[in-house]
Amino acid sequence: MGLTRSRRGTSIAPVAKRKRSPCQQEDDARQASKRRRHSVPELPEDIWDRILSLLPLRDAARAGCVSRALLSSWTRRPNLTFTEETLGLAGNACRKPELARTFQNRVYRVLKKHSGVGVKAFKLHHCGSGFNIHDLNRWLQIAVTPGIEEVVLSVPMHRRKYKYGPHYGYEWVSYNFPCSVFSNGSGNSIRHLHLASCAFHPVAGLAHLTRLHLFKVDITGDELGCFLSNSFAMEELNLTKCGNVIHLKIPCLLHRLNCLAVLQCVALKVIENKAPNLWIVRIDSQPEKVPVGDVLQVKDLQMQDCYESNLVHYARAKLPSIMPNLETLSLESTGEVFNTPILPVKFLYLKNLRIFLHDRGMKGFSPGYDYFSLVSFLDACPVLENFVLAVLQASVRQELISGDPHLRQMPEH
Amino acid sequence: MATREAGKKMIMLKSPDGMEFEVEEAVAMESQTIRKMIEDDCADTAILIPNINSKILSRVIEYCNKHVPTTGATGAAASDTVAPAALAEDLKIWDAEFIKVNRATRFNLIQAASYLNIKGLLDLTSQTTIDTISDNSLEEIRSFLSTKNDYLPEEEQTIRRENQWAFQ
Repeated sequence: MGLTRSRRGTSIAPVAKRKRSPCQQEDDARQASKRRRHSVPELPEDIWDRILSLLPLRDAARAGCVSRALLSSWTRRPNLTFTEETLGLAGNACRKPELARTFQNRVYRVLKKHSGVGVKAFKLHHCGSGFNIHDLNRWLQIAVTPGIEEVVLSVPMHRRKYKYGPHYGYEWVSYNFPCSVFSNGSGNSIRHLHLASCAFHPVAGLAHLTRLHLFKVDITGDELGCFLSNSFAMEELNLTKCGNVIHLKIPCLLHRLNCLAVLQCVALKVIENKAPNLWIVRIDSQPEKVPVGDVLQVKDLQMQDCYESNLVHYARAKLPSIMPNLETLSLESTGEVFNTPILPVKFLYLKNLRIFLHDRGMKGFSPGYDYFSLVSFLDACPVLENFVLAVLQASVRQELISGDPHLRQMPEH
Repeated sequence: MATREAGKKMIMLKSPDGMEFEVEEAVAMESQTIRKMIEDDCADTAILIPNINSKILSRVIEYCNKHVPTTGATGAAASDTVAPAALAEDLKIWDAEFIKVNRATRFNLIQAASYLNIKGLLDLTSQTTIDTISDNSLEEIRSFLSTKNDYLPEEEQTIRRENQWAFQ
């Protein structure tokens, strides 16, 4: 690595001697004297902003008390993450209602300082039980302003009073995410939206949203379909435990959608995909929930099954024709009633295959299953580069090798 | 002033105190600022790096020179023979030694890394300052950063009260 012509050791020496006028040398001397008096340079605003944005929230708040310059940087901090941990409440021994009050109090104090200042990332994992809906609405109004790029919100269910005849009762309901917060122009800047344990009933799309994660969110398939139809920039969609989605329709206008994950949505019957560039798919439960529609281009599929539904058998038999361009396939099966079949159809492009067989800590993985039948999978992958087989079972109920060893030999193996 | 030496394109970097450093183009391009100048064809003659004196510039070049093999194309040969993990570990140790400098030098390095847009160096130098701020008292932080308390006493009281939660 020829760095300079005159390197000595690891130090870097300049190639030319300085040629300075006497006048410039005087200037230098004055500068040097000044430097000696204030030997540590003042860091410019943008660097303090960067340093304070990298500090944990509490440290940044404390740093704001050091000097006016650092206070300005603290109030300009663009990323606000409120969790038990960032607010210094982790491991706090006080009772839950009190914890929730302290949490709210601290969030409010920080947001008050950031009111009207462009927050780019607002993340809140509410801790403790119960919270005031009006507080949460207010926080969102303060934080979600034009320029916001990321909103991550996870709130507990809250109790609502209702009247039942002459009596009053309480019911647990999800926080209804106020979609109107995006109507002030912030809907044009938001890129990532992650909601957990909320109700989300959007009436319009978000033009620049690239990533939507919904976890235990109350939304219907129609609402989601309508939202997606108007969110053309979407690249990644993740739905987990969204129990009200029965029919998921992904419209063809989502040209950029390349990653879809749908997990533990118990009511879901069909995923109908029309997005032309869907590339990565993560699903669980029964094989019939494999997306239908435009799926020929899918290259990476991960399937988990929780209901002993012959996933490996299904994958070997059906996937070569449904997703012929697969390059990576990961299967997690909890039960195989039938052995993996020997079939002529092949995965012509499959390079990475991972098969995980586990019994969910119950009774041993399908006792009748012949692991040797997995060879049929290898036989179907002419360009396979990586193969991982993992078996996890609490108790072994079967002999791994049984019968006449000569019968274990398959043609061409 | 760009020349060729042993088949490698060289770039001349000039500090405001008149020193010149001849550096491989790949090393200089660790700086996104310089990379842009080169790509925009603004680097025919020596590139003047304003506000960064020769002492700091030489340290910056030393950093880029060490880090170019893992990120630049020229490092392909080195990466082939040494495992990436070992290489990363070696760099980490080297970085830790490199950053053992006084505050003034460190602050100058932060400014240089920021102006020249060298992410790795900016992360390294900032992290040391972040470590200084974390878990120290206000007086300790002021002392470490050589920052004066410019609040009026009553102002400081208010600020402290507002951020009391961060001290608990």
